[in-house]
This record gives sequence, structure tokens and C-alpha cells, in this order.
Amino acid sequence: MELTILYTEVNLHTKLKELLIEELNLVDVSVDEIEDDAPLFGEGLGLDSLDAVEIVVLVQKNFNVEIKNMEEGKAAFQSVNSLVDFIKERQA
Amino acid sequence: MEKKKKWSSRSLAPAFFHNIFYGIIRILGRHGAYGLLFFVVGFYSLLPGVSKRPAEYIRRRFGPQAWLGEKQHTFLLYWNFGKMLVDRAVLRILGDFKAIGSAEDKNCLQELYAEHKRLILLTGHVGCWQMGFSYLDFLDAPKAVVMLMERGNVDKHSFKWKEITVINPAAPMGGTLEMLTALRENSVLCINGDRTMGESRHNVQVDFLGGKIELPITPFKIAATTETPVAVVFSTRNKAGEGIFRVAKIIHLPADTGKGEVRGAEAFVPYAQKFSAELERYCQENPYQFYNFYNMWN
Repeated sequence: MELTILYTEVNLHTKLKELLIEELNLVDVSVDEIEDDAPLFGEGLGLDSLDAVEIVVLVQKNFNVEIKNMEEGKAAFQSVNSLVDFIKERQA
Repeated sequence: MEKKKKWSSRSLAPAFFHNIFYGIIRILGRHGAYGLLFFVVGFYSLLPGVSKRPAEYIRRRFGPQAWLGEKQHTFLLYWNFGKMLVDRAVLRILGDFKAIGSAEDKNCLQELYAEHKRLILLTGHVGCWQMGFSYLDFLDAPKAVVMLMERGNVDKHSFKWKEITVINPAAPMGGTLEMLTALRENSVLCINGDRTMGESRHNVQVDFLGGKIELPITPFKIAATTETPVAVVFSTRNKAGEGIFRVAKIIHLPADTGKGEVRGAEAFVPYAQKFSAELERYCQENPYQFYNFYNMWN
């Protein structure tokens, strides 16, 4: 059984936030400070195009889910919630 | 304070002038177009706004110049650039261009691609970079190129490849997801590494021709995250309708670049500096085939 499907919905959010903080080098940001529905890019976490590269790679490495193009990315990158939904949908 | 002028991919000339050249190429061929080009370049070189564009490069590459010397260098830069554009139009219209290279470089790229099943070719706006890539016919791989396609630009690009994916860095997310997809699909991905776009926090300062310029870390970041080797390559236009393709350097980036002791963009400085050093070497060897017509040091 793959490790990636062992996450429950609650700890999937937490795990994702931990990975974002670690992989994107988000200094001075804690898991609790990242709102589930806050935008990842722009006014929310303030991420940008190179951070998107990191997210695509971390989602693939840790959850075995591919974000193939901007169409998929546009939906997935809205917030932590939408990213979790995207991962769950692709893992189902 | 002098406002920093952004680089634009738009052609200096209107569509009408381009069409005149395309017509002459069809009727008189390449050398007919060169003949007209000589007078056009002479005219443009005398325009203060146009001759100002490469002034800083000329000063740094050739030293301080008197008025006549600066005009001569300006003319030669635009003359070589113009001949490259004519060759590019000839390739598009008549399908005529020859790119050559060494067997050693060919083997090098073949081995790199065979080992990794993907490859980033990092080049600059020098020589005959678009046409030079026709040399890569021997690589049986999908090919993609990252190239700014601005609205309103009448200049037509041309590659010898039958099928090529053009990724626009002005697209959402800077085209980065499309670059990742291309590499996942085992492509050879061509990126120009000498112009900055987008977020300034993803640019780093490196040494170039006696000063500091900013280069983007995007190619290196994508190479590191996808564990793809980077081949720094340049194409020199050596005569009418012919270019020489050359592998200048191979750069391997650890996957965790930017996540160790040196974090973020600064971790990519050594790699950007390697590219800059090769670009400078190119300028020393081919001083009139450098087409960044703006003050990179500003």
C-alpha cells in the first residue's frame, strides 16, 4: 500500500502546509497561519511562478499526483483547500 | 532618476518594411535582401534613439569610443543582426539554412539525452540561435522553446523543426507549468537565459563584461527540480545561410539547490555565473553577434 493514501483529510491539509513551508522556504510562516481557503498566489501567501514549479513537484513526489498544465494548475492552485481536493480527486 | 526601460521583443520596423524584405527574398533571393538591408541599417544606425540602445555594450566590449567609432560598432552590430533576420526569413520562405557542429558536441548531447530522457538547452540572444537549433535534427525527441510572443510584433520567427512547442513566458505562471510538462514528456527544452522577466526576486546579479547584470534563475530552478542537465549552447552565424552550433558547457544542478545552507535565489548564483561567463566568452569571440539592444547593466 502506498504511503500517500494513508493521509486523512485533516492531516492532508497539515501535511500540505508543512510541505509548502519547507519546500517553498516560507520563513516566518507557521502551519496555523495558513488559512485553508486563502489564495496561494497573489494577495494570499504571495507565491509566484517558480513557487508553482515547487508545488507541482512536491505534489507529485509526496502524493503521486501530477498537475499537468495550467488548466489543471489554475483550479488546483486556488488555495490549500482546492489543492487538497485536487489531490483527493486524482488519488480516488 | 533615469527610468529603467524594459526590453521589448517588438520589431523596430513596421509590417510594411518586413513585407518588402519578404518580397525581395522571393524575387531576388537572400543577397538581394542583404543589399536593401545595408541601406536600412545605415539609416537606422544614424537615428539617436536606435544607436543609443547598444551604446553600453559597445563601451564595455570595445572601450570608450569617439563618435565615429561608436557609429561604426553600432552599424556592425545592427548589420549582423539584420543579416541574421534575413537568414531567418529565408529559412521560413525558402527553407534554406544549414547548421553545422562538431561530432564531439553531437555525441555529448546524444549521451546526455539518452541518460536523462530530457534536456535543457540554455542559450542567449546571440548569433543565429533559432536557426542554429536545426542542428538538433539528430536528437529524436520532442522539442520546445520558451519564447516571448508579444502582441503586435510583426517579426515572424522560424525554426527548421517540423513540430515545435512554443512556450510563452508571458503566459500565466510564466509558462513554468508548460516547461515542466515538456520535460515530463521527454522534450529538449530551449530557454534563453539572458533576459529577465517576471518577479525580480527570481533574478540574481552576476558579473558580465566588467559590471553586474541580472539574470533569471528560472532555467536553473526548473533544471534542479526536474533533475535535468543543462547544456549551455550557442550558434554563431559564420556566413550567408550557415551557422555553427556549439556546446559551451554542461551544468548539472543538485535537486536540492536552494534548500541547503544557501537558500532561495542566491543558491543559483554560481550556475547563473557559469552561464554569464560563457556568454562573455561568446562576446569576446563574436563581438558583433550579441543582440541584447538595451543597457543590461542599468
